[in-house]
Amino acid sequence: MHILGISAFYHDSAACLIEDGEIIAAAQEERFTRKKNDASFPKYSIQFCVKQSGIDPAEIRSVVFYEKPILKFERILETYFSFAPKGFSSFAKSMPIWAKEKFFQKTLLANELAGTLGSYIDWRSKLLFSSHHLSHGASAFFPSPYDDAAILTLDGVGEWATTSLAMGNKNRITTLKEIHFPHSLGLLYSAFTYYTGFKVNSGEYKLMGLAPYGRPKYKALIEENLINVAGDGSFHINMEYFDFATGLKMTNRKFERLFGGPARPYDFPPTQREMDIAASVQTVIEDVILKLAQDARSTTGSKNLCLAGGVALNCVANGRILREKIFDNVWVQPAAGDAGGALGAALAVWHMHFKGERSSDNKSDRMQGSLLGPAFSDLEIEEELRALGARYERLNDAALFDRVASALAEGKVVGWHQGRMEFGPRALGNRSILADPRDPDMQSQLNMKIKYRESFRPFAPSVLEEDAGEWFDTVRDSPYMGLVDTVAENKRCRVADEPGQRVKDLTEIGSEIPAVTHVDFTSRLQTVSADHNPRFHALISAFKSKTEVGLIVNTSFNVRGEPIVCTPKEAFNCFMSTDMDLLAINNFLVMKQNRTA
Amino acid sequence: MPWIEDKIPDFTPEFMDPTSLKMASFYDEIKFPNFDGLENYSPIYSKGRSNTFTSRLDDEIRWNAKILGVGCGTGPLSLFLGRGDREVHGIDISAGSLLMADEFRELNKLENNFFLASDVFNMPYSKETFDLVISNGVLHHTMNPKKAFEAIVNVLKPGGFIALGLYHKYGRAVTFLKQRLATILDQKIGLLDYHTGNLKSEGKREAWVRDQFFNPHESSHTPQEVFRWFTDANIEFVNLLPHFDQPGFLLSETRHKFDVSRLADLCLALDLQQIREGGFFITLGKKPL
Repeated sequence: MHILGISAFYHDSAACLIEDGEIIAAAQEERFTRKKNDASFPKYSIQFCVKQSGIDPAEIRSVVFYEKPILKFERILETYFSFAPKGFSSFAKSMPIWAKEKFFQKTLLANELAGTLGSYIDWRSKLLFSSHHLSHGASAFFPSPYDDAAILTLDGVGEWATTSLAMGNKNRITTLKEIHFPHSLGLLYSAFTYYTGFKVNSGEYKLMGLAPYGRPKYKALIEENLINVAGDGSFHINMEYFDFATGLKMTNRKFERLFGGPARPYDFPPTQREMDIAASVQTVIEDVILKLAQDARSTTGSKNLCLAGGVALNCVANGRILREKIFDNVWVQPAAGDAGGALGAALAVWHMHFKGERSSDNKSDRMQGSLLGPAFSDLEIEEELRALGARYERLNDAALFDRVASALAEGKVVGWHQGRMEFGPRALGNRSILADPRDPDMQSQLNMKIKYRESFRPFAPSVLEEDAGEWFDTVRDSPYMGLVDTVAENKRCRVADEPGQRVKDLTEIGSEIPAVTHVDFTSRLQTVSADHNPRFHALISAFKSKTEVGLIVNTSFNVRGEPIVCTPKEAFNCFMSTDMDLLAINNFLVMKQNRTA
Repeated sequence: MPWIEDKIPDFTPEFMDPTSLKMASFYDEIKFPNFDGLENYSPIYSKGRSNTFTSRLDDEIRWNAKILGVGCGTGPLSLFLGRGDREVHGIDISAGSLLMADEFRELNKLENNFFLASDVFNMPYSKETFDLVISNGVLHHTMNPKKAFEAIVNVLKPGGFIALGLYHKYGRAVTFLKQRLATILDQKIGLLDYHTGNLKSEGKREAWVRDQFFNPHESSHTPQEVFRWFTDANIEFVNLLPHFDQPGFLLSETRHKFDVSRLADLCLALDLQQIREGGFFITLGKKPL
């Protein structure tokens, strides 16, 4: 039985197709339309999923939307009335859109589906609706390796719930607790993202990356004024300081007075003050998440934890849950944001509506390495490269791994485009830019000449799974880059200064792998196993045989502000427009016209 | 060859015309468009990409093209375009602005950009050198814009493109008014100017106000006039912005419509975008093969 899951109209629309509970294909719309965080109906993603499965659209049994439109409509109305007349500008601006899109969503979806997959099918009768947090929870639990688990969903806002605890058992999910809008960790974090000069809904990563440069000077101020946290982690946000329920901005004047100044203008380089604010809000959020996790453990009694929702992309907090040993096992859905809702909605319908059985071995998950997107054949690639006038050669596997590993060891930067595209915000070795982690200049070189982004932003390593223990303290299994860990003591070259002290120069970072070590000696690692991604594993092994270092820098294949590349053509254009030295598309090695490599 | 502070080759002639001299000392002081207190390349990149004109330009220029920026000032556009394997030269009459540009280039270890001091009439390049020459808001500060245009055409390769941005005679009407007011209000004129309010740093605001309202020399032009220059120099007309620009078409796609009615041109005096940005039009041309 085929089920199609869809998320759309808020941010990050996506589609996912499953067959009898097995994930066949999943992709985000932004990769096809090339508009970052595209929220439009995921037409191209749906077409890709159906094409990948090879079925006739009529064979799709159900189409599931990831949230309940009417509930959300109710939230907007109720929020307005409880704050009236303050929120009129926000209300007046968003209401006509909501009214059109949400209230008539069933018709809208049916029409869009007819336009995408064919109008001869009665889509209206196939439509089902999941709820926002059930979709997230299902995406975290059903593909996880566990028989039973506590499920924590943390995000900005769905319909009403912003934080929820559920218990997953075989093919069932039972919701235990919820915290409702406007009390939301996601929106609190977003408010600070806005206040420190980054873009809401995409700059949250930057805030997290900035935090280690600062000291949590404002922690007490935040805890005393902005958020009230109970012993079980449930919290209450003081809405006097925020504008997101009523206005179009995140913070208000009172907030600015509390922190002694206006919001940092967008895109201004952060100062020490922004760093301290970032460190403060990060600590506050981490403390709340730890309390929530502790409560989840005692409420459910399970030793496994599954995480989803946008806040679960805060891999620093996730790493702390594991390090403090609140749970024995932690699994984070790689597409933890709204895109993953499409996957969760489809799985929820299969397991809970159609009562599909679910088996698990408590070891391996069912995400297939999250490599669920489009792949390109050698024929297609070669045709494209010819049309682009590229200079390339075709190598066998062994020669390719050897050439690329040598180039990396010489300090070259390589674009790595292989097989199926990843589902979720991270590049996991199929749409990646790779480099040597030993080079102290590599971080700034990658930031400035390849990604064109802020110089403080850290990079992440991909380490051979079997070597994770050699390089990192706690994490042994993190196939989706969802956890942050500390670099092993014996790999550090410099004694840790007092925590939070800012390193003035990026080259000062003290470790044998400076390009992937943040200023507080942390690293957001991906473990690569030969089962999940044999080609990527083989490449890192080749690099290890040359350098004795079983890890490389892995950053997403894109430049600042653009979605990760999907097709060979996009990869080629990105390669040509930056300072990358080599590009490998499957077995084709592409070089720059007037460079020797 | 003389060098400016051992960094920038100086090709300016020993005896410059009075306009060039005036402009050189003016821009040495204000350093236009100035940097926003920028530390690194990232904001240059994101600004270039978020501007519809420069991002489309960027998309359409080959990754190994040779580009010249005439009157590059502190060089943001040259720096933005200088990615991949492109070679981008920026010339300017103002050594002060160039030093600022070059300092940024050096700080960020950018290898595709070359800045040198030269006036547009005596450029140190052999003819037919560049795939693209951009002169954005510069020729109206020279004593003879048409002659300057012809000098640019000379260094353009056959098949190469020229992008010429000039003040628009009618689009600039409101700015002329503000210039009058500026004689009374002085630097405070910035308070009446929309664009000034959008600039983030003091340095940038001051540079903009001085450039727009206290410029020692400027002329203004019409598309018809530029068309005549094109015809005289045997340059094919390609595109005219803002008049003929439709998103969805390439910038460098030749527009069939060539002529602009006097009325449409006059309407620019009331165009809000024009008023805000100081009344500006860009003509794109191509040198025939």
